[in-house]
Amino acid sequence: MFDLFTYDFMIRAFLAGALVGIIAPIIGLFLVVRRYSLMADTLAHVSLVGVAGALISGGNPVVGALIASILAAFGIEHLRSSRKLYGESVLALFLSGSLALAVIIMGLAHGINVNFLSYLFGSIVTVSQLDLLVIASLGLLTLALMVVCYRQLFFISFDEELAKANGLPVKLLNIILIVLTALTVSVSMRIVGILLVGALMVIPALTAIQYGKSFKKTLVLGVLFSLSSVLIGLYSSYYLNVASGGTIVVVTLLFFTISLIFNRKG
Amino acid sequence: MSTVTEPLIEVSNLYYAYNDTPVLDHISFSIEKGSYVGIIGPNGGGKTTLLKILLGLLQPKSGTVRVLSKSVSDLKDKYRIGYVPQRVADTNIQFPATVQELVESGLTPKKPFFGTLSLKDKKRIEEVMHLARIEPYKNRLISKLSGGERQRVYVARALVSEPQILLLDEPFVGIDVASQNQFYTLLQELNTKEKLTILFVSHDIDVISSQVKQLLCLNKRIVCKGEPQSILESEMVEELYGKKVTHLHHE
Repeated sequence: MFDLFTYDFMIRAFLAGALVGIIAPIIGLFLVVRRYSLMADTLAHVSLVGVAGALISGGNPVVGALIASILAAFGIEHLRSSRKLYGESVLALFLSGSLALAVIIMGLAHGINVNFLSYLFGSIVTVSQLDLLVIASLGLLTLALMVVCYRQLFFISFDEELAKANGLPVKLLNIILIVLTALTVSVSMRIVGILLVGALMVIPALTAIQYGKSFKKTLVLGVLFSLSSVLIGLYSSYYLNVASGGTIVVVTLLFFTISLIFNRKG
Repeated sequence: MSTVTEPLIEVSNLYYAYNDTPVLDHISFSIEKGSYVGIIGPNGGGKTTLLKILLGLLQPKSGTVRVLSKSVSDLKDKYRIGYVPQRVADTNIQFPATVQELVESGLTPKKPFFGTLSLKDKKRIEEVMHLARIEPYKNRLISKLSGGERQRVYVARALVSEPQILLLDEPFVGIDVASQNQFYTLLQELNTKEKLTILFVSHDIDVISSQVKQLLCLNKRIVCKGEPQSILESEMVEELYGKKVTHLHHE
C-alpha cells in the first residue's frame, strides 16, 4: 500500500507537496478576502514567461518564474494603486499578455518541448533534489514573512483605506502580499502545474470560509483541507496513473462541494 | 511647562479641489479637547473630504492643517485619531473574522511587525468591548451581527488604540433607530467620561443637533459654526442647503 515511498522521487514529491499544501491556502485566504482570487492565476501565467526564458537560456526555471512574477507583481501593484485601470482589468492584462509572450519565447526555441509541458501541468517525477531545496527555502521564507506581517496583512485585508488612515505602510504591505503570492506560485508549480496553482491557493480557502469560526481558525482549516488534498491527490494519482496536479485540484473541489452541502454556518 | 493648551485640530485657510472643481475653500476653524462637533451640510459639500484631509488621506491644495499639534503629514502615531468610515457597516460583511479579532486589529498600527499583545492590550480590548456593549458576542463572526451591532464593533476597534480624537462619517446609514439611540448614548459617555473629542459627520440635522455641543455647517466653505440651538433658530440652515428645511425638534 505504501510501496510508492520506495521511490526517491515520490518522497521528494510528498515533501514538496506538503510544504505547498501548507503555504498555498494561507496566502490564498488573504487573496480571497481582498477579492484578489485571480492574482495567483495571473502571477502563474506571468511565471510561464520566466520558465520559458530559463528553459531556452539554460537557467533554473523556478528562479526564472520567481523573477518574472516578482517583477510583474510590482507592475500590477503600481497600476492598481494608481487607479488608472480597474483592479480586475490589470490582472487580465498581465494574465493574457504574459501567456502570449511565453508562447513566443517557446516558439523561438523551435517548438514547445516536453519540459515546458511539465511546468504547465506539474510533474512530480521531475522534482529534483535541487528543486526540493529551492522549494523548501522559498516555502520557509514565505511562512516566516507571513508570521511577521500577519497582523498588518489582516488589517489591510479588511479595510485598506482605514489602514492608510491609521498610518500603516499600505503600499509596502501590498507588495509583500503580492511577492508572497509570487513565491507561492513558483514553489507550487512543480507539484500542481502553473495552470492549476491558482486553484490550490483559492479553493481550500473558499472551503475553509464555509466552516471557519474566526479568521485564525479559517486559516488552520484551509491548511488542513489543502494539505489533505495534496496528500490524497498525490497518493491516488500514483495508483490511478493519472496527472497529479489535476487529481489534487479535483480533491480540493470535492472538499469544497461537500462543504457547500454540509455547511455548519448555514 | 506651558499651561496654554493648543487646539487638538487647527485648520487654517484650507483649500481642496478634485481636478479643478473646488470642494473646500477658505476653511478655517479650530477644535478644542473634549469638543463634540457635528458636521452638517448638503451632499458634495465637502464633509467627507474634510475628514479625509484631517486623516492625511488627502493632501490640501493649500492652507495648513494641524492635528494633535503637528502637521498631518508629519504625524507619526496616526492611531491617535480614531476613524469610523462611511457605510462601514455594509462593507466586507463576509470577511471571516470574529468581533474580538476585529477589535484587536485596532491595535495593529501601534504594534511593530511581529508584535504580540501585552496583558495591558488584552485588558484594553476587554474594556472597549464592554464599553461598546459587544462583549456578549465577542466570539461571533461579524457576518452574523446586525448592522447596529457591527457599527459598535467598528467604533470599539477605533477606540482600542486610545485615540484622542474620534472621526465618524455618517455611521448610521442603514441602521435602525433603536441601535442609533444606543450608539448616541455610547458617544455621550465617551465624550463626557473619557473627554474624547468627537467629530461626527451627519445628514440628519435634527438628531445630531440634539446630541452635539457644536455644529459646523459646511457647503464648500464654512457657512456657520456654533451652538446647535442658535444655528437652528437662525436662517443659516436655509442658507446652507439653499432651501427651506423643516425641523423636527428632539428633546
